Amino acid sequence: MAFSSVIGASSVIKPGVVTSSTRPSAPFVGQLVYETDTSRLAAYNGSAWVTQNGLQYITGGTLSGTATRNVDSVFTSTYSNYLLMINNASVTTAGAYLFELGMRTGGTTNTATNYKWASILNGYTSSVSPAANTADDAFGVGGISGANSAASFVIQIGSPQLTALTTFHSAYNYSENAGVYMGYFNATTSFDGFSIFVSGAGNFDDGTYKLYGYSNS
Amino acid sequence: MTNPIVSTYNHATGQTTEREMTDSELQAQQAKVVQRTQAQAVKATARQALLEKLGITEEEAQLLLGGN
Repeated sequence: MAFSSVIGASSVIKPGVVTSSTRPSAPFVGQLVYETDTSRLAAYNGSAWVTQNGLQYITGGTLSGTATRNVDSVFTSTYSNYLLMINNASVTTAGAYLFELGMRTGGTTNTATNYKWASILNGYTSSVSPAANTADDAFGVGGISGANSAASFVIQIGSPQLTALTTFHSAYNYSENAGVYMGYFNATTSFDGFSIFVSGAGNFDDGTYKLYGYSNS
Repeated sequence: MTNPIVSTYNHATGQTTEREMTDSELQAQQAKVVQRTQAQAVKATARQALLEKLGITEEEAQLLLGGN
């Protein structure tokens, strides 16, 4: 099918800019709008607005030069569930440490002993015992060691902003072992941010994080 | 020597603030590590006692449990 018109390489097509509650009341088939509250495009298919599905990037950054990285105002009503990717993280102090994830509300990390987690992991050259904590002040999400450990984590966070139990599932690996950690916050607290840190290990000297939201529909 | 750094990014405002960890925050983290290390040591001692009771080596226990 031939194009009816082609715009120049430097030209711009700008769809209508609305919110998910102020979409056009009399749309035509194929009409596009950009929703500022959901940060996504929506197209009208003749009977309903169809939005982009799947993962939506929210924010990301580096870990180096900090011991605690707090990230606020990222869990909203737009998404129920989130994916947090952490890659190539290492810390400045030699030794094996627990990588921790705290949940935040209003700029403060919740340190109540409501974090319950358990792990199954194994070393590349030696066995590692499973671990668990039923009353921790943060989630344990995996292992990490000194420089060049290249610790990476795939962490799914369920319902952090909802007034419901917040859950997490983390798959991780670093130079010494690999495994899975999972658990939940044992209270129906609504969170809007998170904190990543490694107790007693000094600053991170490498690593990045990226946060995505799972579209609700 | 400076304490480790706490960095806070607010996605709503786009602002990042940085500060040194307070001495009490640092001490709390160090106490947590000591507590965790002691718990691991207790577990390792219990594990060694069990191995001796069973009369098997660490390697044999790993084979039995399917580990490395």
